[in-house]
Amino acid sequence: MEALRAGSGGHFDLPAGTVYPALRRLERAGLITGTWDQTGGRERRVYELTAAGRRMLDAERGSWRQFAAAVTALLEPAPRPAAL
Amino acid sequence: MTGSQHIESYLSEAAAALPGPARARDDLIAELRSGLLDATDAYHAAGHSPDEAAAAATAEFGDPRQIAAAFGPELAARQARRTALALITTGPLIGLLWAAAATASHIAIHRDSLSDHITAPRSPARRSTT
Repeated sequence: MEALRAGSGGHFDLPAGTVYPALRRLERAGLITGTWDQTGGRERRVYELTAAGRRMLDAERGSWRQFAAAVTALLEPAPRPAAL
Repeated sequence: MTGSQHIESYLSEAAAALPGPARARDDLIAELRSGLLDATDAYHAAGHSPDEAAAAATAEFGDPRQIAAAFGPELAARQARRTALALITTGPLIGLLWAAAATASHIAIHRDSLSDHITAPRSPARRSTT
């Protein structure tokens, strides 16, 4: 959550606790798997992407780039080619 | 409130708002607790007193009832699985299996009576030839 806040320049400043329900939803969807981990003394739930999660991330990243590029192209039109 | 009291009262507020089976709830609460303790450690390391650190961590996590509500679908799914299991052992499915078993044995009985019918005319016929 801190990485999300810092990485987005403070735009996505969600309550830290909301990450836990989100993780469980992703796990139920089969996109990540969580296991309890004891290393470092305190029990922590550690998550990693499943193969399906990785595919989904790649697909979503691709479609976001397409969408963002399309919106950018509409909002900031390139100068019309002079030949026309 | 002391640091651990802050965290435990936050967790009991969240637990009270969580529906569903106790085991699933305990697992979610344990995960929240470890997250809160990690956040508390981070605030403590940044120079806050233990009490301030725990208060800051719980504040950062957000309204416990809101977090609990967001867990709703997760617990509902687990509850649904339990309900499905309960229905399998006590409900309509077992009823269906009984019906299937009864139908199967009825067919068997019916076959027996059919073979009775098939063999029945023979006996008088045999008798008549003697």
